Amino acid sequence: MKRYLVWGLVLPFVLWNLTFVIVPLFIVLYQSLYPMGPDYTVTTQASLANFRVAFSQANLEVMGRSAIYAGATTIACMLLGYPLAYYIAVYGGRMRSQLLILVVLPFWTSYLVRTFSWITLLQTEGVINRVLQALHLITEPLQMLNTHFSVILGLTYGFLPFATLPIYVSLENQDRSLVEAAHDLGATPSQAFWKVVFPLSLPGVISGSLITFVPAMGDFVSADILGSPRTQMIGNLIQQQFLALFDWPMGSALSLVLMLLMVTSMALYVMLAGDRHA
Amino acid sequence: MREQKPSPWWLRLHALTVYLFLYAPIFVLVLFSFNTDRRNSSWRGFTVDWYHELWQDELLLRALFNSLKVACLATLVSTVIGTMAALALSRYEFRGRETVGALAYLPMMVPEIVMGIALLTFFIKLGIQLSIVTVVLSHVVFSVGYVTVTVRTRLAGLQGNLEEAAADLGATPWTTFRLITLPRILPGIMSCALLAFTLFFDDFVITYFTAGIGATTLPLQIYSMLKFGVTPEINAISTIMLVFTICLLALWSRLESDPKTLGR
Amino acid sequence: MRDRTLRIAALRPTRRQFLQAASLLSLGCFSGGCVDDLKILNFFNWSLYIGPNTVKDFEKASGIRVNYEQFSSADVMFAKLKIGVTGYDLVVTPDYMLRRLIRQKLVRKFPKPVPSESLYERLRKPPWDPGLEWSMPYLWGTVGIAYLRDKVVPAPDSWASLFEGKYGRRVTMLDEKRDTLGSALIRAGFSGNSVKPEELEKAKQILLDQKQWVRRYTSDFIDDLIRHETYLALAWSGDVHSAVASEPLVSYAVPQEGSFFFVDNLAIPASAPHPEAAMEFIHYYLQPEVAAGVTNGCGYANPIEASEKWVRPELLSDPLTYPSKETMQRLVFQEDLGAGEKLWDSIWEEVKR
Repeated sequence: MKRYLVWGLVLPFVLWNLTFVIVPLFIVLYQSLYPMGPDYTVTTQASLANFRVAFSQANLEVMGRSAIYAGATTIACMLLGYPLAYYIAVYGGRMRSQLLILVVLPFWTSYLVRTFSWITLLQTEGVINRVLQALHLITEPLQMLNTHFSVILGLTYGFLPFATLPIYVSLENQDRSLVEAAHDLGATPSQAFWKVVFPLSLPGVISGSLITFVPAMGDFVSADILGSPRTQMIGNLIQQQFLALFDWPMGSALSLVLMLLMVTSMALYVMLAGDRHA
Repeated sequence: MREQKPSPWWLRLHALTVYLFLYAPIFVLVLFSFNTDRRNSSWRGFTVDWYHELWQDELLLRALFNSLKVACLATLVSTVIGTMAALALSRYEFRGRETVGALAYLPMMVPEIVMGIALLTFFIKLGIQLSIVTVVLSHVVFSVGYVTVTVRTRLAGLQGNLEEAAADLGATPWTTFRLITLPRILPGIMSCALLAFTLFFDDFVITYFTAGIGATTLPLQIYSMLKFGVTPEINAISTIMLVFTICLLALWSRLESDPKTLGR
Repeated sequence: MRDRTLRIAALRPTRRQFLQAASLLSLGCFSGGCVDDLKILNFFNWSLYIGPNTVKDFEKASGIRVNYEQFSSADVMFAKLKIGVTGYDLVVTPDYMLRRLIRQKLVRKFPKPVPSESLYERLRKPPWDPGLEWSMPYLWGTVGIAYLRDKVVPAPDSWASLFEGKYGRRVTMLDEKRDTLGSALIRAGFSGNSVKPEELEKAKQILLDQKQWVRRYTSDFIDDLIRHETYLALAWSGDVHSAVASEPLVSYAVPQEGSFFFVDNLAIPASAPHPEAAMEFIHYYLQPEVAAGVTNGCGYANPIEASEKWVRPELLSDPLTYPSKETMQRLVFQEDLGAGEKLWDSIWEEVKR
């Protein structure tokens, strides 16, 4: 009886993933093996030509750039998110859930609209420039839009809650008596943090950075709205292949390469993190 | 459990700065929904005209309704499936448990654009016409894993053998679940559901590829209106959504702090 | 709390079953065809490319309910049709894309060719559809240079202004290969529709040299101009018209070397479930007042000569919407590239990387 119960519970989940994730991905794989011929008809000869092109110099450059952006975004999210999570977990008191909700609340407005609002803030005649000029910190307005900076800013902004939440969860779960014990043993607050609190919060940091790095690599909206031809990410290339050039086989090949990158970085991460933990 | 000392000033400053960072564009958005100037670059004067115009915009309202429909359905389906899977994974030993658990992380490794294209191709090849149903199906895909993982963590954190005790007392698995397990994991499920609802409501990429005729959601509609940049009308509807959310969350907050729920 | 939980828990299985049933039902409804979908029109058009009341008025006049969907790029529309998305009854397609759609069997012939007497002469036998059996002109415009009058001095009258980089990174180019690569070809002194590899290579080099001045490749150039983020943009005439409403300093010029005159057309996809509704809209649009309503709404000229009576005088006298005869002589259609399409695609890809 128990057996059937278990399988009954788990079956929808398994079936769902199978039907709507695994099968479509296999379709993508299949598509990538038949390159596009003239006049938008797919050739009937299977070949790895698309993959050869996918690993071309220019594409590798874009992939490298995506990884760098994702890395910068993750670091920025960690730097911004960790202290915030710490503040809410340790000093939040009764306001904790409200403070946490405030972190997530911006997501309830459209991602597109929020990113566009950054344009209003970052533009040459925008708020930030005007304030900086009024304070005489700069004489000429800064060109902040359509730069590497604006893309990373957009990405950081989009992923900050994802980075912060796991850190908060692991900090909140911590037993504060450990910190008190450290104090009793004569540790300074700084030592107590770095020797006790931080190492224990590492799982949260790891899952937070994973949740940030991996999806950020595949993002294309930030680069689309806030970027320029120089800031293209691999997500933009894929979008171009599918929608502008209508080379779905090529787009499929690029997608698989991207996923390979993502899985590899995830595996590397977990491996490195595993060593640290030991 | 809570620090008695006041927080260091630099920590407070940092927190404030981050909140400022998070809300700067929101502030711009709300402010410019009342701007007399159609452009989003400078403030001219105060008006509520855009909200009036919003009410007339049938396409936008229809899109809003679609978004709500999709988000509700998708949240429901993914919460149910995810919770069921989490229960099975955390409570019972069975063959293939590791693999099934790993499945939960699968959608995270697939970029949204790839998932969108893959699903589009899938539906087309199967002859399924795109519609609201396909959008809902696609959305559930990327959240089910998240629900499973979160609820599973929550379940793992539960102490005690209350469930076993209930079983010993002769309760059926369903009764045990209903009266013992569910109340204790409900807050976790609810917060998952809330985040999932947010993701669905705001989703653009997957919806872009899998929405059919008459399934235009709010993000899609806004995207098609962005040709001339963000209009105050778009800001207006975003503001309304924000206010709606704040009310929803305030209500949820009220429920959370209800003394009856403290028994978790 | 206990009661609420019990209620929710009790509801759960039933609600799920209901949902499954509902989704199966709606799936069936969509693929099978319900009774009430006899009077429906699924219209797929460019964003913001219609009058504010056109759809509502059509619904009232014909009793047909319109599902109006928008796209922001013609390539997206093509991709959707090509990949097999069905359900669209009426689409708006650029002139150069029509032959491609016909070759790919993605559009169907009209039951009867459209009567062409009411159209302007130049549009009665268009090269992409001389018999008007597959399409009907919808709106037309020109490709040119939009600029900020106070920042770009002297006023540009040659493609050189767009490509020379005098103002730093303040240029945007359209995210459409036909317009951007085409204008580079004209700048290089060749035909804007050339498929010769050497000529395309030269055009590509021009674009690559220009890239350092290009803020972005976008069809939403208006926003940047209005914000004064950019000073120059490769532009479509009608969009510039809307920009001027928000920022009067925006101006437009059609270069002396020549440019494109594009016509967007109404066509019926091969998989259209309601082709008769589509034809009804096409005939509705032939009415001069209706066409004028669209022009007045979005700033692009319509092909119905008699509509001039109802078009706003400011639009009629505006060279943006109705260019002078002299300007028109400098303009060419964007032709079907045939086998050369693949070459254009690969060059465009290289440029955008």
